[in-house]
Amino acid sequence: MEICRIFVGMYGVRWEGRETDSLQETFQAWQDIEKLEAFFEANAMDLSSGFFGRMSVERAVRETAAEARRFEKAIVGIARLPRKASEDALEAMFRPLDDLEWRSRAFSRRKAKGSHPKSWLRLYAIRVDRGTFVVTGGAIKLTHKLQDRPHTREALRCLELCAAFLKAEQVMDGDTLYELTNEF
Amino acid sequence: MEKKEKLEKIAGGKVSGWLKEAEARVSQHDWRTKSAEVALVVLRCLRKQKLSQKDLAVRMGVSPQHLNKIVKGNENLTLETIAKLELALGVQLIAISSSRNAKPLPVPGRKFQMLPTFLNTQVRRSAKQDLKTVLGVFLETPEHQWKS
Repeated sequence: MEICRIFVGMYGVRWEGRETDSLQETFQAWQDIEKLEAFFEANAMDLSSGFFGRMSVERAVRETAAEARRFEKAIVGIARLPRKASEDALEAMFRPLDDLEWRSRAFSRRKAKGSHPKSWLRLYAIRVDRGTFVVTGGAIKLTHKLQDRPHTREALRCLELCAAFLKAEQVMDGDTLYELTNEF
Repeated sequence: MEKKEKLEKIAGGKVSGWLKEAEARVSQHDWRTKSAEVALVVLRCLRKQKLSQKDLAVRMGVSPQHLNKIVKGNENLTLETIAKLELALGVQLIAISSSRNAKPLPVPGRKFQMLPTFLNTQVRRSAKQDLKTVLGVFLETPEHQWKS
């Protein structure tokens, strides 16, 4: 895997054998109507589980593509900000994956959500330092836990692979390594 | 070395293509939204009619690769392609408004360009109204109902 710069403060992962990076892949997939239709057909049970009301596959596809457009536009806006403001915006956007994480620390696993209160779009990242994140990928999260479905488990695995890579490249210091080893 | 510097060193000058792609998508928002709507209806029809994309491509006389671009919602469709899709699927994909029921589109900022003319006419018509009331009328009046 390779790390590439998306803009100041935001980095992406180019996985082995892929031409595009994690952020490119995620936003391409979220706006690919063919992929979305197939995804929601395959996960129609989760859609009708009650949390999202009576959501049809068609409405789910439309709302996902629209939400992805808004989400992408918001990140383009962050990319155009001056460095300090961009770092602040990224800090505000990426929240700890673990809701019980009470202090901001380097190398924590982070998530960013779409703007809608019930948005199922998630971007996942490793926070390297203040205002600096490596995006590992994204997922459409229809269930409560990431462990519940194969595609969200895969998103979790990408986070772990990226953390292991940063460890191998010695970006992490001893303390963060200890914390992460215990966490994973 | 700082963590940020180490990360920048690992990236080694490799830059993501996302920003360029995203800026293009943002600027193409209007037609892309319509293209996505067409793609979704086509995909639902294929599923309902138990047709494959290859079957539809043959019916339309286009390559499967071209049809695949259409169903992804990434294609700036021509009227010719839309007509071929409609004929091959036997469904209407888009409708054209008649001049009578064509809805005016909201144009950002256009209303406020009309404000000086609006104020001129309204203030002359009702000299007793204060500016606040006149502005209130302006903001509440839909653009297409406003007459100078």
